[in-house]
Amino acid sequence: MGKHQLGEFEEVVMLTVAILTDEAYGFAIIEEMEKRLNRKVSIGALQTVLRRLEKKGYLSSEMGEATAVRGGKRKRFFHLTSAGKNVLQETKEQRLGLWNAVPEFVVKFSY
Amino acid sequence: MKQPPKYPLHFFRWFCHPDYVEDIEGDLLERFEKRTNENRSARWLFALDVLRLFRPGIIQNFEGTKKLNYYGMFKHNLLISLRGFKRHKAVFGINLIGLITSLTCVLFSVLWINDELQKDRFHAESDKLFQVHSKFTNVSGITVSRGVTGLIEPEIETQIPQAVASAVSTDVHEYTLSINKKGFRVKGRFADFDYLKLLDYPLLSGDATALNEPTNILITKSLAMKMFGKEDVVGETLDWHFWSRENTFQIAGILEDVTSATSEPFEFILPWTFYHDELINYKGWGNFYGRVLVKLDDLSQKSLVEEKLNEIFQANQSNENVELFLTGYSDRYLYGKYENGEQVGGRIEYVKLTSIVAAFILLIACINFVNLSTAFASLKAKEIGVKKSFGASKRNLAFQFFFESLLLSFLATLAAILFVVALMEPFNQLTGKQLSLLPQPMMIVYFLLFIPIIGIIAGLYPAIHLSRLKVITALKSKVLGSQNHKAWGRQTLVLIQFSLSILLIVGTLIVSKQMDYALNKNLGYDRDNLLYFLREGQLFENGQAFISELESIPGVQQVSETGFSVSPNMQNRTGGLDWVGKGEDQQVNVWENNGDAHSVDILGLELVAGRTFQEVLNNEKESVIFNETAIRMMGIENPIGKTVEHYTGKKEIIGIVKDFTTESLHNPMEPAMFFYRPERAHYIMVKMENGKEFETIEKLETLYKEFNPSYPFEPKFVDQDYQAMYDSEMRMANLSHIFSGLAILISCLGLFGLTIFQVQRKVKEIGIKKVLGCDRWKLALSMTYNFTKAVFLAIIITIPISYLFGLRWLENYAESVQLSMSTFAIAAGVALLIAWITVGSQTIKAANANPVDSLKDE
Repeated sequence: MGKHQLGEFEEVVMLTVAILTDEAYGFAIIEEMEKRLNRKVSIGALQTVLRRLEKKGYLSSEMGEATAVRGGKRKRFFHLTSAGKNVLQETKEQRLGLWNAVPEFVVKFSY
Repeated sequence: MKQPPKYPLHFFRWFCHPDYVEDIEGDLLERFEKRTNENRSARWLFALDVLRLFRPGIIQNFEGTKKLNYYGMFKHNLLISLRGFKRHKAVFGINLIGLITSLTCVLFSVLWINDELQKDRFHAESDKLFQVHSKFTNVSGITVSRGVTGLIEPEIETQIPQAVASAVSTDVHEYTLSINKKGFRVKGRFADFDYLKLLDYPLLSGDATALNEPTNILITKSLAMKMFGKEDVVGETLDWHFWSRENTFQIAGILEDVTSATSEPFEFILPWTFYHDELINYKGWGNFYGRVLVKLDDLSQKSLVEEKLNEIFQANQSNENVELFLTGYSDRYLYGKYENGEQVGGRIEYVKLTSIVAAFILLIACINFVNLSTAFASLKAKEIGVKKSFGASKRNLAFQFFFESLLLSFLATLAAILFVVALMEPFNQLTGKQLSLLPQPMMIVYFLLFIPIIGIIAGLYPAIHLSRLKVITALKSKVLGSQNHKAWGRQTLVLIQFSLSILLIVGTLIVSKQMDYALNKNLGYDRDNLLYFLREGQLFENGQAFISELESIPGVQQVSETGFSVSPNMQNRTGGLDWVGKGEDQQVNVWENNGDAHSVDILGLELVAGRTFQEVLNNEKESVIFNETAIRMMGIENPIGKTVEHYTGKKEIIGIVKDFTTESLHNPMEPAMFFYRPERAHYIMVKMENGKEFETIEKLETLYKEFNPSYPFEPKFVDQDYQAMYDSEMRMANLSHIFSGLAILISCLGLFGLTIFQVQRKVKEIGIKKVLGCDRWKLALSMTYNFTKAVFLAIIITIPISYLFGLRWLENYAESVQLSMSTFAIAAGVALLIAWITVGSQTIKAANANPVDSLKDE
């Protein structure tokens, strides 16, 4: 797995999908990200990343039931695959490893 | 609820990948709803979101939409075809090699044929131009010539208004041109000013009206470069020599170089007025020294013009034996042959022959493709079955096979074009042409048309046949159908292939036999080591001195001043002969030679009666020697000592020689006569000792340069001249050798492929037979049996056909070889042998294989 490096946006998207668990569909992900991270996310950017992650095998998706809202269009729910979970875990450990290697005073100063 | 903006939504639906469209649209709408509730500029933001979705990951792929679905099939077919090529390398290779070879032949033939058909047709008004011909009838038959009297041309201008223009010229001859005593042997013609108006030989500089003055000359650009080393030579002068004449002409214009599209290329034009006034002694209606061209605006008036031409002619010289008529100017090259006064083709025969042979070769290669792809279809049966059960229609499957043959023909055509470019040089040497692909980009486009043509011809049968397979049979049985049924079709095709090949072999054999016969035939005169050159300049004034010097050269056996030439352009014939007992219609056109006392001996002609000329006698000028045909035609009995009346006076018959061939074997033996008129002889002829030709010629040249320094020494051999008359035939013979060799090769490739296939299928059978104790030779024999049958049938079918073709071709010759059984036997034997070798190598290999190997894998 070591070769597959996640991009920052990809990581954030995957984490958000993980947070939302069974409710992770396009618009909900955007809402969640805008709320938590305070940044603008366009549907285009998000959807491209979602498809890419799906192609890489980190996410899987399935269509939900049709509802009366949103013009009767079905939602596509995303889930983390086990490969996705592994890569998230790996990324987290890499980050932590890096954090742990940083001398404490540097961080304090920089704040 | 507010509606989202329409156009961005439509745009989104159009570009979005169909798999994603639903959920992303839902997201868009949900966001839009939320933004409307928050009362933000939702519509703009919606559009912005749509725009941001317009990116590679979201936009639909070009494959996979309904409209472009063929692309997927295309890709699939390509893949299947390429895999097929890879798996059946032998079949692919055979098909490809066969197609490339045949296409290369065909493309070369197309180039050659195109060049032939274009000859003399580049003149803008060539379809309105007609050449006046004259037809003589006499006891020896009807002869046709382009010659008419030059006096008729002014008459045409005044008396025949239907002929809107006319021109007069001579044929092309070789003359010597010189500047500062440096001579060049150059081809040129005499013509009047109208000649350049009717024919498109453009002038680069100067004026065509210059031809109205008898002292002007027009030369081509390349001749100017050759003689003067520069192009701008208008106003300069040069000397023209012919025989004993020498005249100075002023260059009045430069002509564009005459290309190979002209059948009779020339490098200069001299004024007709000079020719007519200075060179023609007898300007009568009976002297046919001119070549007249007329232009008609209304082609339907051709027969009217012919009628008037004859009226004019008969009014001036009443002669029932001569009839004038018109033929298309551009026909001179391809349709220049006359028999009994009728136009009977000519080189067009070669053009037709080449087209047929090229078509044969192409057909043979296509048959290979059909045979091999149907044979190997059994290997594809499963694939077809599976595809059909998935709902592939016949059309889909047919398309797949067409695709495969198109792909193959595409590869083959490209390769063939490359081959044509690479082999252009040797081909040009072989055919004596200057063909090139580069200045003819249209040709390449035509060539590319071969891709669909070959693809469809070759793919048609497999496509129809294989797409009709029934699903169940295709899936169930490993081997397709009953073997006999399929093999029957293939055998027929093999039969056709071999028939065509045998036809080509027989043709080649007959052609080369006739060529051998013609070139080695005893012509009645001894043409070996016989050399001649033009009698010009000093050779006239100091002729006797030169000849006695010549005779003293060791290695020179005999020298003669003579007019003998095998070239029809240089021969004299006359009808002006009277004798006692001549009948009303008994005019005889006799070949005439003017020479000195040795002119008969030097040719090695055999004397039948009387004697040859003797210098010591004073009255030799009143003597004549005839050949046997002439005496027979005139019907003179006991001819020696009798006299005939020639237009130069009374002549006594002193000798009779055996018949000899005056031109080539195309013509029958004709009447001939020799006069003692050394002063009229055009050439000096030298008979050299055998084996000493080289040193003799060197000494000749030194002597010639001494006497005639300003003339180039260009001696010619009579036997080479004779060979040159068969030049076009020789070239055709070489070409047909190559073509029939290739045809055989391609057929054998096909046979080879079929054998591989059969052996593959029968591996088990062979194994079992061997285990049961079958002899390996019997095995091999049983495998070759079918093919042998086909080849035998082909032989039986072809021999009568080729016999008829052969007879027809040999009719072109007055004297020809007999068609012997051995020719056909050789052709049949060669075909059979090659087939056996091809098939045998594979079958023996199979028969020798260890049965364990073929039986163990299951």
